[in-house]
Amino acid sequence: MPAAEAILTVSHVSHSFGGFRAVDDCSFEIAAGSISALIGPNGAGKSTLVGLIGGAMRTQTGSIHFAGRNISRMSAFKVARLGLLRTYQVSREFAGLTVMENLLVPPPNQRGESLFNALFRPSLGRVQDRELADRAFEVLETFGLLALRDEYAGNLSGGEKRLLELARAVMAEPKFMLLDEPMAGINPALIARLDGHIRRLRDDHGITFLLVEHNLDVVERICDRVVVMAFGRTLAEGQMSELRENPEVVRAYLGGGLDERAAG
Amino acid sequence: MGLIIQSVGFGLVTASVLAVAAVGLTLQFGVTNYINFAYGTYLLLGGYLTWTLSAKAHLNFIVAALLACLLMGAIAVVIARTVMQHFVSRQAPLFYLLIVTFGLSLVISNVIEAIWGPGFQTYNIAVGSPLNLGPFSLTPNQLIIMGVAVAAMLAIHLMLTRTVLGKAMRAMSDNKDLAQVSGINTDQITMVTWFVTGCLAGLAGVALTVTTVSFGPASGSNFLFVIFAAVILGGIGKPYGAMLGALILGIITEVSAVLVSAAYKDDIAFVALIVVLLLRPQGLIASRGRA
Repeated sequence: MPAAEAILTVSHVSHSFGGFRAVDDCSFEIAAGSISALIGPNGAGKSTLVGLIGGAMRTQTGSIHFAGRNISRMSAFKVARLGLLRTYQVSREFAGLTVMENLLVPPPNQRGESLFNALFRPSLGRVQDRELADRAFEVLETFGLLALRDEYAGNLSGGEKRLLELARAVMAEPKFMLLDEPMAGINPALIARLDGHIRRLRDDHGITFLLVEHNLDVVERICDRVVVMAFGRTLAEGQMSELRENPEVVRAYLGGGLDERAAG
Repeated sequence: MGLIIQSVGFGLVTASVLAVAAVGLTLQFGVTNYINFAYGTYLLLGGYLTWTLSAKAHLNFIVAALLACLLMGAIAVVIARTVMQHFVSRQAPLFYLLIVTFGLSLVISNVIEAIWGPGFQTYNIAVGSPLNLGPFSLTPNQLIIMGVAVAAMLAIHLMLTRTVLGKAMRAMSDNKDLAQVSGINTDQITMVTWFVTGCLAGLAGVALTVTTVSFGPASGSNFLFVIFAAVILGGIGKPYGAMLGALILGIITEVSAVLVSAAYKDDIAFVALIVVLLLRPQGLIASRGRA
């Protein structure tokens, strides 16, 4: 078990909506520097858990620790500033800002600055900001978006929006990226490119990834470790190849998806 | 003909007052995503504060106006914190927020009436003899108002394009949730926005009361509807649209005062609004980048 080097620890987390327990005593750890996946049938509580980790909702019971800090009740912007960045199932972008401006939105290390400086400091013309623009340029180049830098983000195609989402998150210098179904609704060629980017970011920048993903082939190809959720709790953990043999996991998927995909 | 050109000059003065007010309203809407019906009373309160500080407390007029603007910024923040945030954090429907701000406007007008009385107040400012500038003939006060408005618009432009705050405001106005998960402290930006737009309301109030010379507790609400027209004309939530909307409405209303009748000024503003919305339902400046 990667207990000693866990960057994210979810312990005994429960969360209810009215009388419905979406997450029920769920616990797992994510090792620093890994590419992990969170899988499970629909209604397993994955989305709720993603919301809890990202700070969109406050945790009701249990605790979530990230990089040694308790983030269970932290607001989303603070979680982001600690270096935990999330993306969405349906990509989100600042539609009315250009691609370049989208990358300049995440505020770079403002900790320790006065409110006045943080707000009214000119964002152009200073050395730090030129460096930031240079970095945005570089990031856009690696994601193949440089030619689109002056385009409004709302005009991009679905695949380009996915790439922009990753690029924007990278600008915040994250330690950890939580990707909610990054492969949903994009073509196979782009899937290959995306998983290349994910691997590169892990290898070159040491970013830890947790993917919530339905495409189990992708999960098997790029993830070191997989957490299976069902009925709001952790059902099993391990490598995808082992999990395909796990009868409990197969049953949770109602004998459907897993076998078919394994066969296909 | 001379009279019409002359009225264009007055139109620029009206447009200046309108632009400051409209940019404040639209900026606040963009960030908070709900309309503040009490905004007209914020303007008026700014006007009354300036009047009291200058005519009663005998402060220098510029100092009084500056103080009143800062006070309005602070008051806007206090109201947002103590009243509006409670509804926003409970995710109250927009309609409720609208009613709450409408209630606020009633409360503030009554507070104004309780403090300053129901009658009209008058500025004792020397109007000064009009200066002839090309085809226009304007008083020094009117020129100062135009200068201050242009400076304020320039400051807003620089804030939006050159500062971290402006960047955060634009990001929030575009997508609040995404701004938050990108690491922007949206609560803080919201409060700073209330402060900035409160100051703008105060400034517009000073300009409004100085141009109309005498003003009463209802002056704010009447003007609010012209502000709305300018904001909607430009495309709601779009500061540059609001500036353009203000310019168009300012000139149209003043020219119509000559051509038709001064009594129909506000009505003409709405006719212009209706015509523009029929031709361009998205406002003059449409949301960019939405394919």
